[in-house]
Amino acid sequence: MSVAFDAAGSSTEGRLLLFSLRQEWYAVELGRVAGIELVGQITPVPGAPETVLGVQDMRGQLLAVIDSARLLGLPPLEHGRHVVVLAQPDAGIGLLVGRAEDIVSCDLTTGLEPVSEGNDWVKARLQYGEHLVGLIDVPAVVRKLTSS
Amino acid sequence: MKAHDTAESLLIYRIARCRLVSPPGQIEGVFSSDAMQPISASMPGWRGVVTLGERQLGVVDGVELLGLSSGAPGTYLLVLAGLPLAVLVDSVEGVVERDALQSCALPAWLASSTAAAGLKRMWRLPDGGLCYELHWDASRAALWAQRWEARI
Repeated sequence: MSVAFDAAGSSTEGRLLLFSLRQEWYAVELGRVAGIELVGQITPVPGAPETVLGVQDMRGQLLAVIDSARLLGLPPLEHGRHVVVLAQPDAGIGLLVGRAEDIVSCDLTTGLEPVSEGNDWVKARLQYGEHLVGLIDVPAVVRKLTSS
Repeated sequence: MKAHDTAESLLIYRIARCRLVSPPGQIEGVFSSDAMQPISASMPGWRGVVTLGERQLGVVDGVELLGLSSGAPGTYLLVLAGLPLAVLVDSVEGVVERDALQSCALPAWLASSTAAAGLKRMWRLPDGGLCYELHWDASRAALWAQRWEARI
């Protein structure tokens, strides 16, 4: 399965992709997502940072698959189902997540509660039903990965 | 067994979940890990020693050399050309002609990590699988070779 998003389109503004990691839920802004892939065969990358599980072939292009759980300080993810491909063509980064759950619209100015402490990569939180969802700071994650 | 029959053939082998190919001249030969003898417990990190004629070679786990997190116990020994080392690998799959390999590009920000491990580039094998081209003389094997020589 593969789902592609138009990252440049204004229709993604204020929309979030929600995904689960174990019992926790997180989100990324849809405008920063190029698509969602089913996890495939992952080839380890010797010498890479611990958060890099390896690379996955995505229709001829290699995608670095990141263990989102480990990135967020959780125990390593053993059974992820989806890879959220970030809209950073040159970086080739995909976040392995438990499962992509939903896409929701959100007022990014009033619907989020800023987070000033705790995890470096969660910049805000929002309530979604019974779930408290952490919004991931994608640019900060990309900067960290590509400069390490 | 000889590792390479022609100058164009690359040996395909596997360490943990990584498939690797090495160019002619990098690998002197391949042996069963049964050829390995135990080594003193006072030499941590070494898996054993193998004797080839009058040469004694230190045996290192390929997982250790590549900095991978885990792997199955190695079943083959690759004797590295020009270094007093043999490397434990999971399996040896055969040879492939260089012309049959298709080039792949790692994301640029990962390339420096792999270069430090002696991995020159990535290829797609004829079966569609990915593999790294490993040059042992540019890997951490050189450091282990110095350690091995220092013990004598």
